Formats: sequence, C-alpha cells, structure tokens
Amino acid sequence: MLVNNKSSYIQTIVAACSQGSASLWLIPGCVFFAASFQIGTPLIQSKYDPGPSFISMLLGGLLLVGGVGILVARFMAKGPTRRLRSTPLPIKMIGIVLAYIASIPFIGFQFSTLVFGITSMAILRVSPTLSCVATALLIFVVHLVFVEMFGIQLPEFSLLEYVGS
Amino acid sequence: MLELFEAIPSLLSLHILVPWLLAMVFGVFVGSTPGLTATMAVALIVPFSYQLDKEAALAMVIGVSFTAIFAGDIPATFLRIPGTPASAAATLDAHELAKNGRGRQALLVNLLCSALGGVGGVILLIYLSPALAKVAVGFGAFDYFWLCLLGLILGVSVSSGRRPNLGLLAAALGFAFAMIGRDPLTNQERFTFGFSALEEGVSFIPAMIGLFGMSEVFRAVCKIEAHPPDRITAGPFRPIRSLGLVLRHFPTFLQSLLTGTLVGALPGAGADVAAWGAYGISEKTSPKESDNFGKGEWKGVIAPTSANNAAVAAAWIPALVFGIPGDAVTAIVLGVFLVYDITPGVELFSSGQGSFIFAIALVTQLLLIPAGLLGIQFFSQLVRLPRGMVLTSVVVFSVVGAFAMNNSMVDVWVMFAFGLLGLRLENAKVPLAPLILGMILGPKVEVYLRQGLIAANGDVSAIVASVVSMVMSIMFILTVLLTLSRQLVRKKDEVI
Repeated sequence: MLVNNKSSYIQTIVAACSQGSASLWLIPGCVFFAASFQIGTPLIQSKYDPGPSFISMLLGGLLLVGGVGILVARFMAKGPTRRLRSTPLPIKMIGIVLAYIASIPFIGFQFSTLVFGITSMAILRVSPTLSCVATALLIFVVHLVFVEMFGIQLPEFSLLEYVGS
Repeated sequence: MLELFEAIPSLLSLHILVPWLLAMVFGVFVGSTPGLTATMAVALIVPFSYQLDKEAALAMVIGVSFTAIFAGDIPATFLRIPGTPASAAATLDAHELAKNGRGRQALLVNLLCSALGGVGGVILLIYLSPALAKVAVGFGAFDYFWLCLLGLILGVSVSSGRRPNLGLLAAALGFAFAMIGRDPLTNQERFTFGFSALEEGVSFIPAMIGLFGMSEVFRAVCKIEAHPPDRITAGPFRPIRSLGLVLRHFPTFLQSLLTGTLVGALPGAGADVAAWGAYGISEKTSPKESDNFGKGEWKGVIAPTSANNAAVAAAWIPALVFGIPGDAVTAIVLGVFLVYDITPGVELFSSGQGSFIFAIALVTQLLLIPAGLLGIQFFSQLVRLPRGMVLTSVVVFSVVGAFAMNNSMVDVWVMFAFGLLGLRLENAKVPLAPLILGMILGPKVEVYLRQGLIAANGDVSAIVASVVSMVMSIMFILTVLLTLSRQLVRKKDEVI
C-alpha cells in the first residue's frame, strides 16, 4: 500500500514537472548563470551588500534547475509522453515584420510602412484597394498624432546618405 | 468634509467643466494609443492649462492624470496590449471576454469599477490620509521587500492557472531580463555583453507591447491562415447590466478597493502591485470561480480595475503629505501645484487647499464615465474593421509606440524579440503574465532586499524582524505551499 502511494506521488510529481519545453529554461538559465560570474565587484559596494551578481546567480540557477527538472521528468515519465500541439509559425508574417523593422532606418517610416501595410493586408486577405486606402490613412494618423502632436521624430528616408558614405 | 462639499459647487461652472472634460477625453485617447503614456498626456496638457484660471488648470491636469489607467485598459481588452503596467492584470480576463464578444461590456464594467474605485479611493484618502501616512512612514526596506515578493507570488499563482511551476519559471525569466543593464545600487553593468544599447536595460513598455501585442498578431495570423478571417466583436452596449454585474460582485469590489488603497498609500508600491495583489486575493477568496480566472471571469476584471484606480488615488497620500511623488505623472502634477503656490505638507490640509484638490479628484472620477464611454464607443467601432486591417495597424502602432519611448530602434527590436518569445512561450503553454510580473516587481524585490541588508549591517535575521515582515513572510510561504500543493492534487486526480 505504502509502495503504491509512493509510486503514485512520484507519478504525480513527474507529470507535474513534465509540462513545457526544457530548452526554454535551460538556455537562458545557462546564459544568466554563467554570465553572472562575469559581473565584477564594484568599488562602491557596501560590505553588507550581497552584490549585483547575487540575485542573478540565484535566478540563473532556478531556471537551470527548472529546465533540468522538466528534462528528467520527461525521461522518467512512463509510456509515450503527450506532445503539446504547437501552432505552426507564421513565417511569412514574421518575415515581413522583420523586413519592415530592418528597412525603417534606411527608407524611412512612411515608405516602409506603405510597403509593409499593403503587403501585410494582402497576406491577410484584405482587398487591394481597401489596403491602399487603409495604409495611407494609417500613415496619416501616425504622422498627425506622433509627429505633429507629440513632436516625435520618426526615421526618415536616409538611404542616399548610406550610399553616399 | 464640509469644506469638500463647499468646494464642489465652485467647480461646476462651464468655464471649468468644459476644458476639464476635453482634457480627460484627450487623456483617454492618448492613454489608449499603444506607446503613448499618461506622462506624455499630462506633460502636453500643462502648457494649455497655463492659459486658464488656476481652478480650471488644476482640474485639467489632475483630470488627465486620473484617466491613465482606464485608458490603458482599452487596448488591453480589445488588442491584448496593456497600455500601462497596471493594466496587465486586467488583460487576462478582459481580453478573453472580448474574444467571446463581450469586450464592450468588459470595458463598461471596467469603467464603472475604475470610477467607483477612484471615488472610494478618494474618500478613503480624505479620511485615512493622516493614519496611512504614519503607517507608510513606518515601512522599512524589508517590509517593502516582502510586500513586493507577496504581490509577485500572488500574481504568479493566479495568472499561471494550472501551471504554477511554469509560471514560477516564467517569473524568474522576466526577473532575469529586468536585470540586464546597470545595477541600480552600484551602477555596475550586468548582462550587457559589450552592447552599449543594453546599458539602459530592457525597456519595459516595448517588452510588454511585444510579449502581449506582437505575439497576439502572430497567433492571429496563424488562425487566419488556417480559417477564414474572423473579427473580434465589441458586443452589445449594456450599461445597466454592467452596473448589475458590479453590484453582484460588490464584496470583490470592496475588498479590492481596500487592497488598492492600502498598497497605493505606500510610496513606490504603485497601482501595478495593487492590481496584481487584488487579483490574487480575489482568486483566493473565490474558491468556486478560481478555475475560471484567466478565462473570462468577471471578478478577474472587477478586482484589478477597482484596485488600480483606488491605488492611484491613495498614491496622493505620500505626494500630498510629504511631497514625495510616487511616479512621473504625480511628479509633473506636483510641479504644477508649485507653480500655483500649492505646497505639499500638513499645512495643505489646514489651509483648505487640500479640500479643493480632493474635490477635483472626486468630480474627476465622475467625469471619467462620459470620457471613458467616448473611448469605448470609438474603439468598439475600430474593432469592427476587417481583422487584417486591425492586425496590420497593431503592428504599425507597436513599432511606432516602441520607437517613441526613447526615440530608439533598439526598443523596436526588443519589442520584436519579445513578440517571438511570447509566441514561443504560448506554444509551449507557458503563461505570459508571470514573465511581465517578474519584470515589473523583480527589480523592486532585489533593491529592497539589498537596501535592507545594508541597513541591517548584513544581519539576515532582520528580514523578518518587524511584525509586518513576519506576517507577510508567513503569507508568502503559505501561498507558495498552497499553490504547489494545488497543482500536485490536480495532477494526482489526472493521473488516477
């Protein structure tokens, strides 16, 4: 009976720990734990202060332990582990957002937003006419609110400067 | 109190009410635009206020300062982009309700709770200012440390649903991200890896926009690619039913109001701690509905929205009594007070100027309702646009909003990176809210712990020396044990 109870508890703990992906915690855990040893001791640090690396070391350790726990639990789990049904990556959308952000410093906010808006809406099945009108309106609203009202200088077309230099 | 009621009629003239209401509408629209903050709205309204009488000017500035949190809840509900850190707690349930076609009703309930929470907060502020100020002064670094740690664990416990172990790890990851940059106590660089752009740390707002907004766009695109385009419907406009919902959950409202006021009165604790604390307490005190939290539970909307607005009102206690602004918005408003010869301190209350400020704060909560209704109606129309247009606009506003924080493309890349991280975490069924909670509260936990140890000459036993610390540390341990045992019990049921 005692053995049964014990095995049931182990199963419970294993099941509880085997959720999620281990790499999500192991990679940042390794980075933060290892890099916390690189943090120097500042001259102005009080002798009673545990220092700027203390908590980061603890956090890196916690992430590592969590990741290892999930990994061990996966190995210990009896039978085939239930895989999480992951959503497919929206590669096209990630790609055009990446290209949009990367192009802003070179071709400016307005032009890159024009290209991004029309492309993105086309991918998302908005009619071409509507997407052109909506993008133009979007650029106008952003300019009005951010540039005219709040004086925020959005990046402008500067490709020629780069070519020139 | 009598002086307060005498001050109110003097505020109800058209030359004060019209600019006051216009300023609040302006505050709602600015606060609800991703990337534009309440601080920017208040800063922009100040030059306009100088053209008016002292009464109208103060009403405008105080009015805008009180619209911030409700305004931040609007994009949080419809787009899952919290406009302010204090809106993050309400995002969980409000966005779920919006996805089920009850977004407008969620915002109506939110608006009523914000206004009533604000009224309650101001009334408590009037009565409890002297006593709360004494309590707040008595709080030491370790008391704040336990308060923030308790807020963190309560938030993690509630927002993680059935996966508190993953929630805890997500909070640790958020905490670790918050440590990138310069150490606040010694100015030592941490985790910058030689990149000067990282010296200032990971900006919180771009991270939040990416984690919630950008990842939601990516997820929505996946759905559109798989099925015909869908739309978030704002749902019907039912103010009476919304009021009924608030009244039905009146004990939750009252409990959150008190939590918000107590937390808000502590300098530096903030409306975000109050919102998460109230959310956690509400879940713990509602065993029947605890499984529904995070899935569109009304109490999950009522608790944080009542508490954060009550906390904003209570944050005026240290500001008015000691002249210590708790945040940037309060600092600007205190600056305006000084222009009009209003000096914070005990004399403020004896001179009658305190009653005048309380009267403005009280009427502001009532004016929030028409200003907020305009904001709700406007956003409800926007979400009726084709989903592809809305998602594209969210990306553009997220990019511009992240850029506008520091006029830096680095923040835009941070936003994008957190968008991808959010997508990856959600695919692995890891709750996102604890990560953001770790980023908000983690640095406070670290600073208070280290400050306390320095003040106690390294004596570790001082960590639970005061009564407040002792009580909160016990509550912290109990919460951890209850949370983990709850997961084990659930898993055992599933295994059996």
